[in-house]
Amino acid sequence: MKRIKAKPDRIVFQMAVVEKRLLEEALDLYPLIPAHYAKLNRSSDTPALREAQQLLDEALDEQRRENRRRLAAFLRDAHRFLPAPDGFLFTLNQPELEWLLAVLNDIRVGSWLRLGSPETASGDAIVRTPQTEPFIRAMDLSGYFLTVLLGTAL
Amino acid sequence: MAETVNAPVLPGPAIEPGTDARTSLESGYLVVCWNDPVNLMDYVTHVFQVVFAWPRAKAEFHMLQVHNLGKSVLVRDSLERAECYVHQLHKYSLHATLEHDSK
Repeated sequence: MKRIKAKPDRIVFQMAVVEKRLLEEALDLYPLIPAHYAKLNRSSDTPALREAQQLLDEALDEQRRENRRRLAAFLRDAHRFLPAPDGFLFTLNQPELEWLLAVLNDIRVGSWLRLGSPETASGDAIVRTPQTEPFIRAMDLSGYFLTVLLGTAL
Repeated sequence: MAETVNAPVLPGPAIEPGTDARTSLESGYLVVCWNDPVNLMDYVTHVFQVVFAWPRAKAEFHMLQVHNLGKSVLVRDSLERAECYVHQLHKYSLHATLEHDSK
């Protein structure tokens, strides 16, 4: 996958057929970070912080619901992936790029958490079993797409 | 020989005994980002640039602090603003907390 056009209002990537399939495979896993995982504070426990923690949980729950709705529409959009001789032309605008980065990082961090938060995030260093394999694959796939997209961001 | 000029002495602010320059009347909160080895360095830099509108060099400095030291204090602000920053960082799946600044 590589960027072939970057205009102020949109970025176009050339994407192989297999890359589209792999992107869809990764995005199908969203969300992977468990609800209530995010902690606002490590040490204190005051009424104000408890209330703030509840607000954070609610905000992230709402974001997950909204992202799932948006992902379904994103993947259904016929203009998102236009057939091209070598696969597809994949088009994003800047806000969509930001949103997709956050979604992919949820998949990457969530996979890592389900692998037991190993010290290394290199899939090669993690023991492969039928249980770990899907999450190693998801971590690697999301990492690949994050790297490509970050090369075009800002 | 250069001529010397005595600078006029201007009155300073009246400071009451027992007060501090950073007054405890306005309680501050630190936004701290913690290291998760799974996050890509470019991703963390990018998120800092977007959330705090920092130039790339400053964002990279804090990313490297997170990477090398395990955490970085990103900003000190009011509870409301610190909460807002932590929410934004969590929306990007970064591990961020707010800590009361007791200094």
